Amino acid sequence: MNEAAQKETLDEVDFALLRLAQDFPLCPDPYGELARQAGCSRTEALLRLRRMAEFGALRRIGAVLQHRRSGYVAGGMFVCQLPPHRVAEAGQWLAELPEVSHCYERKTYPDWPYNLYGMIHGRTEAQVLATAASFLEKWGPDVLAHALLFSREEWKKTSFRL
Amino acid sequence: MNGFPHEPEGPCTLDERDELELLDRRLLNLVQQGIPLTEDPYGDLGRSLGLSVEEVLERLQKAVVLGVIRRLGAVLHPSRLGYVSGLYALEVKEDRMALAVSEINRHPLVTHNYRRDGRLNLWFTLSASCDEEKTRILKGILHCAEAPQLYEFPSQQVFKLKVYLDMEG
Repeated sequence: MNEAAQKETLDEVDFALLRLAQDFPLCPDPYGELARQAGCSRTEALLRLRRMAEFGALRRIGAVLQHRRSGYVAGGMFVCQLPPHRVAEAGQWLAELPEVSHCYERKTYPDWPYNLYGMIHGRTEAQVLATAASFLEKWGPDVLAHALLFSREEWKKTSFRL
Repeated sequence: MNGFPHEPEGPCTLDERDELELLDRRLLNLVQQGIPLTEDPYGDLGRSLGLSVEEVLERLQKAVVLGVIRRLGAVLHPSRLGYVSGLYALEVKEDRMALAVSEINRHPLVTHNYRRDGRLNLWFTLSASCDEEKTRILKGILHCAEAPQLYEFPSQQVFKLKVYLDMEG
């Protein structure tokens, strides 16, 4: 299904619910509250949200923690170059590590050959380094190049909002 | 110093962590994974921890006030909503950095922007409403940064996308 077709399956009430749910109410009946504001019943609001969760437009309703306030002050983007036929297996292995939040195969450039990316979080830089080291210990023979790019300034960090 | 009011500055974390009891930590772990899509979501969360709805609400409120919870609400999938999302990087000279950062940050559709180690020292994510908007925003950024090239890093395979910070560990 292409993007346009996907978008068409959502109507105005769906979008209203998603918009409202971006700031989820801390009250005993949060879905009732969203439904009232969107102009539908709570049962209908829940059906619509469940459908959007199933379809993937809504990843979840939940808490996003502030890494730095949660004690996870160190973060590094681990990038590495693997032969194309090894990326899937190594990527799945890297993704299994609890310290890794995002793990992707990405486009390469002649002067930026890394094809596997993993965001590693830790309470210290040493922890982040240790996680990267455990990957290299396992996959070292296949790794053609790698780097651990620590974040040095967080200039902006927000969530996508409708 | 990063200058963003919603990102409290300084090391700070230990005292705040101590204010959270084990039950708070277990609740934070659950609520990161998702608030259930049920008639009584806070009640359902509380039941597994032996907490009432009121206690769940009180503890979550405290975590919001302490800044441990950055946001409580719907986490959306921009590309499933018709947006064009991507990760981009630039090689920016130090004397252009401030200008590049402010040009990138002024767009509400930019959600992340970090300085990183390495040759490509500025990394950001953008979700534009269409290709034309994406091209226009990126062109403005490249111009301001005076960078030799804009690197676009579309994902070719997703192995994981799960931001989960274990609060009990």
